[in-house]
Amino acid sequence: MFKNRTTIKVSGLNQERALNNISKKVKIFKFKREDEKHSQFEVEFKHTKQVKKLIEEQGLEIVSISHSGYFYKLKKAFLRYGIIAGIIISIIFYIVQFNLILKIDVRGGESVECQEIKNFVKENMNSNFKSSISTENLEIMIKNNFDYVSSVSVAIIGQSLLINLNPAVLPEEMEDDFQPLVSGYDGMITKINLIQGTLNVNEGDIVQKGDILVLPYTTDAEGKLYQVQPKAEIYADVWLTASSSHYDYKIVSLRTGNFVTDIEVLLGDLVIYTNNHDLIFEEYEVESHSKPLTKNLLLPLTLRKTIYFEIETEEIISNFDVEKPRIIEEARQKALIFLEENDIIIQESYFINEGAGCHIVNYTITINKNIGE
Amino acid sequence: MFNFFDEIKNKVTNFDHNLLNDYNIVNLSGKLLYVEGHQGVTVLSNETVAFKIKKGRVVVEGENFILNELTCNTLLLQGKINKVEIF
Repeated sequence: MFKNRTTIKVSGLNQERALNNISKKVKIFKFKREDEKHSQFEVEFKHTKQVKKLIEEQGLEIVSISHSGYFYKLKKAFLRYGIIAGIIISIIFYIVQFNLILKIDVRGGESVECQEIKNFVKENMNSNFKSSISTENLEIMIKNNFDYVSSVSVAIIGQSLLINLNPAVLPEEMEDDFQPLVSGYDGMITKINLIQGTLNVNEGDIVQKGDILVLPYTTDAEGKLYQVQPKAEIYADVWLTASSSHYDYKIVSLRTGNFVTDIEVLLGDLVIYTNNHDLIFEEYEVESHSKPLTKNLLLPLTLRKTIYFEIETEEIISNFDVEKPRIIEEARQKALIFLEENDIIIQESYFINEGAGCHIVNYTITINKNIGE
Repeated sequence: MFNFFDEIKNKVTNFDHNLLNDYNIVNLSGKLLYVEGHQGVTVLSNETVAFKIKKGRVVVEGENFILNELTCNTLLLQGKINKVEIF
């Protein structure tokens, strides 16, 4: 039982000569002649390959090979059950490590502050097990220990501890660093009501986005400058413009409704599974989406779905006069996108640029609003 | 380490010890035959085993032979051993 042997059955003539040659290199056990042509013998398991080669060299035919002994059984069991055991061990390892926090991610602050908070959290975490981490306690501790954090949220996502910071913002008055009031829009100024600061524009002026409207200081009778927070209500006619084009002749691609989906499973960048199909479409568009299959960092499995949509091209010839109302409305709708809540439209207009086989409708919506907020 | 053939050598005086280096055969109760110094098996069957020695040939006859062990110069034969002839 403890001897690891291989039993080999051979057939052929002149077996004695073959046996003598084999026995010069390996030890032969329990040779038994079954008949004139057939016999069987044993060799040590470790010599199996060598003996097989020798037998073939001697011109004998191997009828069967069987193995016995603990080592062979162990090897067989390892091969048969090794993969299953490996998977089970991997699953156990996965489950254990899934319950650990492997990464602390701090967002929302300066890099130095983030590092400081990360170190603080590392020091104050009792263990890396998710179950032993109290996110509420961590939030309180961070808020109590860092003045520059106004609010914080701590969450466990996958194997990461995600800390989102809201840095404390000082009022501008306290910062003692006043910025000028600038225009947020392009427009023509219609009305000015200065509250504080020095005006830099007049009614009727055309300003662009970013232009300074009110400077952050005032001057007293002696000409001395005082820094102040600029404040004013400055109303202007603001033009919201958009355009839409029409081509008398164009080629468009339309999806036929046929599509093929390829799925790939990636481990990092390595493709470990794919069901790629042969594409039968002559013309197609491709859309690709990826989503993580696991939330942990040790097994970064990603599912990538690639969809190939069959398309067909179509020539479209159309008359601008017929399409005109639709193109104008299209341009209008584009301009309306820029309209904000409470904006009041005071005028709408459009003009058409005509080129070679092409018409461009420029639509303008005029509104009046406070541009100095 | 104990060596069966060395022990025998030591027991015999006025004997050419070099002769013991040719071949040695031990028959154990007619059930096992141990051979040292053979120069190749020439016949192997259930009833007959023959092998070469330095200056001749040995033929073993019997029944139910199994060649229990075979190396380049030793062999161990198991079975009912009826006759061992040296030619």
